[in-house]
Amino acid sequence: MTNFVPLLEMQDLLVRRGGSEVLRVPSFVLHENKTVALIGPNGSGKTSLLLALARLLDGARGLLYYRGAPVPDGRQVVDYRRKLAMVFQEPLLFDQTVEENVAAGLKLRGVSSAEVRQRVAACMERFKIAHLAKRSARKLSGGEGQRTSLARAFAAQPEVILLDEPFTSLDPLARRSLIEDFGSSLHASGGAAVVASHDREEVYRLADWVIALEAGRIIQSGRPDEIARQPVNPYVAAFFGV
Amino acid sequence: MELIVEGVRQALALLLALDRELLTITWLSLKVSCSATLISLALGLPSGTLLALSDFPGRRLIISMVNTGMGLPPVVVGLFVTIFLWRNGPIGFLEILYTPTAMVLAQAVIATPIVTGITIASIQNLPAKLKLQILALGATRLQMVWILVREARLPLLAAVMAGFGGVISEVGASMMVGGNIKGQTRVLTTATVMETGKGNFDVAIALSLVLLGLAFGVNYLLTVIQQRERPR
Amino acid sequence: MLVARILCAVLLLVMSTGGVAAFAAGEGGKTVILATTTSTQDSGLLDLLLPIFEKQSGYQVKTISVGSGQAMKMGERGEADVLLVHSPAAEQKFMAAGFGATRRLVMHNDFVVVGPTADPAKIRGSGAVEAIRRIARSGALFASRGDNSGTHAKEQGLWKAAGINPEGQQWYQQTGLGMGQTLNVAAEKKGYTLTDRATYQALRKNLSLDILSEGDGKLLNVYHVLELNSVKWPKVNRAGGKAFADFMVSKQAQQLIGSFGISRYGSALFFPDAGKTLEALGL
Repeated sequence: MTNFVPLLEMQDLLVRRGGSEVLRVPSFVLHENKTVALIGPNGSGKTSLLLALARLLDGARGLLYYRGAPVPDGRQVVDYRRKLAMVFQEPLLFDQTVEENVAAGLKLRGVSSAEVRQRVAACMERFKIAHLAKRSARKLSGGEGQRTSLARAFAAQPEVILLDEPFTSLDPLARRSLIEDFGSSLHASGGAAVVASHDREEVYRLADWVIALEAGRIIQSGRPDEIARQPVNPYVAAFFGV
Repeated sequence: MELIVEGVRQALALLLALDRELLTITWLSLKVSCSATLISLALGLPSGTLLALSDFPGRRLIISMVNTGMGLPPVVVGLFVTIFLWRNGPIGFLEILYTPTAMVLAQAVIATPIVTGITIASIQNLPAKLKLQILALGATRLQMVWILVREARLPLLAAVMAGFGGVISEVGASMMVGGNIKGQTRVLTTATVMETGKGNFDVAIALSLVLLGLAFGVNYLLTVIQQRERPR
Repeated sequence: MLVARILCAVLLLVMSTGGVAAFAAGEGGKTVILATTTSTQDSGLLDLLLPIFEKQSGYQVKTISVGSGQAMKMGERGEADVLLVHSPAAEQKFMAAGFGATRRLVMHNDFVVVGPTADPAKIRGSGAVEAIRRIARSGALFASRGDNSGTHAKEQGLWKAAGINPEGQQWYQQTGLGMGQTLNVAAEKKGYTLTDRATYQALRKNLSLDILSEGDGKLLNVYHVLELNSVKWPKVNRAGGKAFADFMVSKQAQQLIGSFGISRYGSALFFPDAGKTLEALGL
């Protein structure tokens, strides 16, 4: 049953850099339990849009609503950000053990140690890194690092997960298994997600909705099968292999 | 050549006898330089972090001043601090010229730009997106700064060592603001210069050995801490 | 590992609190800043006299040893409380300009011209002025203090008397250093220099220099103690300066001055003169 009030809604997003428009998104909506994929060539504005949703983009103007209420600026924006988590293309782990990394988001929110331990254990299980708990983050392979980064994001139990091409730098085998684990974790937790992606398989497996960007503008928006049937430009066509 | 050998031999004799004056001088050197280093950390770490992370008009100017300050000749610092501390100078009412306090002040002025400069470089050397990642996990600005400093702890330890090393071995400023007064402001460096000037090479060599030992000892300790965490 | 960290932290804490405590100990009226010359300091005389003075008077003396020139400049600026210097011509100017309150004769010793045993300029046995004339003529190296010290002033007086200007000559090297170091330079470079006898005696064992000219009246080195004019600089410790000056001309100090160095060097380094006139010394 879909809520009428969207989880996140952005209106009139406008980002200017050095006098020119870099990103212009009149409207963006994310509903609970849904996953939106952002596709487009490099530099089309996928990362900027994700950062704008987290209120982390300098020079971004626009209205942002969380469950219908405007997201504040200033100090209270942290409360909003604690409903999200973000994962980047590189793991960006801290110089600690895997366990401590996964717990990071929880520690920031001041969760009690007992609960931290429990949630961290569960997350590490989910992402199959429990055996790496005490290992230093510096000694992980690419795949293990991204698993840790995802586990860290999930452990904080966010309502929205923002992902900027998190599987791109992995080898195909690692990618496939991680996408699986991510997809099932997301489904189990009931969270919403926005995923920037370069990969068709990811989009088919994870996304309920696809938004195609080009040069800072949305050029197509719809369900994956709809877009695949009628791609609006060569990039989108190539993306879906049609 | 025999002079050096003779000097070293007499130096070891003095050291083993735990000469009282030698101990006083050594203890004062440690106290003054450690205090100065602590002050420079208290000032340099926060300001370095602030300069590395924030953006405001004039930031680049301040950073270049910090970088210039890193190479500031200690004797120049000594001269200006002395002028300020003169009885009839701007802060002469403090009456701290020719006391260890003045030496701590001068050494802190020397060490702070060093610590600040290295802090700026250390923080700026962290992965560019790390700051965003930390904020995106729900950190407040304060939490973010704390985590970044923690992530940069290895090069920041180098900043501590650089700051301490710069002041324990400094002689020009210490001489000027301290006056090398026996039992009061005489430290290893100033005593070495004096004994050399008097021709007491054996004593001078003894003092040099203690100074080297001290500098090495402290740096060894800090290096052990730093290298234990080094990526292998 | 953790132990090492805790040890570090404790050590640091102890040192800084110990440091702060020491710094907190105030001074104020109990401090006397004595500006004197490096030769006086290096001779070791003050190491003998000062502890006695401090114990008797309760004052704490901070001895700043620089050249006579700088010492007098400090006096002019009120940055010292009492001066012990040996540059008579400059001192007279100082008093005439009203910077000093009193000027009392304390002691004297003499300067000597020293040089390599081989004595290339052949000055052995000559009078002071003749000696430096010969040095200039032979072009032998001469190390000068070059730092406005009393020694430097005496040396310049000799050049003037000889009618020679050594400035800019290749053999005339101005070190800008203290007496001990200047002697080292002269010894290393096998050159000549003018030095006070006391410093030479103290360093003799390490130098390969001989006394080649001595005894000339022109080589007399006279020390005065000057109290400062505190009307101009009210922050000067008048009482402390006076106490020190009084001490230096007291019977007790004069006796100690006269016997200083005999046991170590075989002869006295200084000759006590309190109360005498300069004429009595042969000047």
